[in-house]
Amino acid sequence: MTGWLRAHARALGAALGRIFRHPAASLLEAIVLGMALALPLGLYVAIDGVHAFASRHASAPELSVYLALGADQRAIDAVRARLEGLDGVDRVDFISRQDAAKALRKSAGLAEALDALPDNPLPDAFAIHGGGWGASRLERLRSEIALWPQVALVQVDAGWARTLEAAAKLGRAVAALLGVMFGLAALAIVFNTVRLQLLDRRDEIELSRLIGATPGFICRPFVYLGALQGLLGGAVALLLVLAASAWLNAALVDFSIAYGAHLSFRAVPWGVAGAILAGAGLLGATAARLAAGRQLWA
Amino acid sequence: MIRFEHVDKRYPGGIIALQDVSLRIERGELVVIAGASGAGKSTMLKLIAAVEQPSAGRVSVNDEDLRGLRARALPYLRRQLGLVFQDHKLLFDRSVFDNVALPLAIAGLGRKETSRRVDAALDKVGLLGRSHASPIALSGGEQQRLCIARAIVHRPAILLADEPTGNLDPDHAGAIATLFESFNRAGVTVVIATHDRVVIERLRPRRLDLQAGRLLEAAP
Repeated sequence: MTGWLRAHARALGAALGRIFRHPAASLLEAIVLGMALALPLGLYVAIDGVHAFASRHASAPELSVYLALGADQRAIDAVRARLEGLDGVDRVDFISRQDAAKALRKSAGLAEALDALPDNPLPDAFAIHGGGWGASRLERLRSEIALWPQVALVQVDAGWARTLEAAAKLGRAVAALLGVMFGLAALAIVFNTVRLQLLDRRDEIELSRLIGATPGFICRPFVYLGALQGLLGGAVALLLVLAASAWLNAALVDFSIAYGAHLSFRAVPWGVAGAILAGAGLLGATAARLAAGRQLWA
Repeated sequence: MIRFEHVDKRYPGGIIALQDVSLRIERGELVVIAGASGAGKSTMLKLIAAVEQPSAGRVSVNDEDLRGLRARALPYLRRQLGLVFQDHKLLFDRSVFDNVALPLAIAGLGRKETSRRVDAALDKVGLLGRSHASPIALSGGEQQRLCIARAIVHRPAILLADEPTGNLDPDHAGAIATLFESFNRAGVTVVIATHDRVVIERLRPRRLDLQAGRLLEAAP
């Protein structure tokens, strides 16, 4: 066990030594790797922000049912009963015309305009929360309810949020695909870097083989070098995404507020950051192992 | 300890390096393989170190048939050997100490033991005071001695030397020969491929003469 640990410590020391002996080249490699990894990671962060925004709004009522202005309590009760009897309805909230007017006064600053009117122009309404209806089902429901007596208007509320959420889902898939593509690019970068290191060290490798080094002994420092390069690249990618999202966040918040929404980039969660670093390290180690194996077989 | 049985070695292009060579080298022997350039001396050493495989016949080391040796076992066979190369194969971006320490790193020895053994090996070849120097700063004779220190530092059972005095003057060649003699006296089997008369006369070894790949004086 001690010998095994010693061999790994020696290999890690050799890999660190190579990085510190060539700091400029190592930094450049880390930046190239970091940029390759930052692109899918940045896209992931952007889409995560959109997804969070869409999720917040997707939980809003799916349908709003506005009653005719003269609807009495019997009509209200009848509509409520029919709405509650619909398949897939989770909750039906009644919003009286008085409550609606109060809310409008508070939220939109329309108090003066409302006061100027002779009567409350708002109807009684129902907010219907459903269990994940699709767009076509929502449309069918809207048409069906619109035909009920005392129903003036039916509006699909959360449709846009659902669409945005679906787009975010698609965006995530695209980010994953880009992640694979840029991951392969990162693999190629590390593979080539290690291949050059192997060529640079071919005399040492040849000598080591002649005097009894195992393939593991020869490959190990290069695998550690690849893993360290991957880790550094992952760290650079995280820093780039962090810096870019901090830089863009203020502008994005201002922009979204102008449209009555609050959209912002969220910080990369610790778990994701850890996974990025571990993944990048593993990617680097794999590329290095492939390069070293190829060299040894050659 | 080392056995050749009807060994042929042909290289691609039809070059015949060895023809029907049979010999036996016992533990603790001091043997010189002599012959002109191209006679097949280096090929014999390469076959013993399993760097090359025979085209026909059988080579065994320590009763191990090298034909059947698995790739995984090869490094461990080579750790029983000490190799002195004609071109030294020194690592010029490492210190003298690090060059000698390489076989011990491969064997997985600790820092303290490595330091002790490297110092002892360098002391034996007269380079103890140069351990922090770069090999590039050494003379040809010193580089050869450094190569010998690296070959003996892990205490091999067999020492194989390919033209170890190739570029040295007679005085330095004599000193190198004396080193091999001292290792042999300590129990190491020494096999030297050379055409250097100084080495042969100094050591008075068992001599195997090769001519165009054929062994002129076969082992008993």
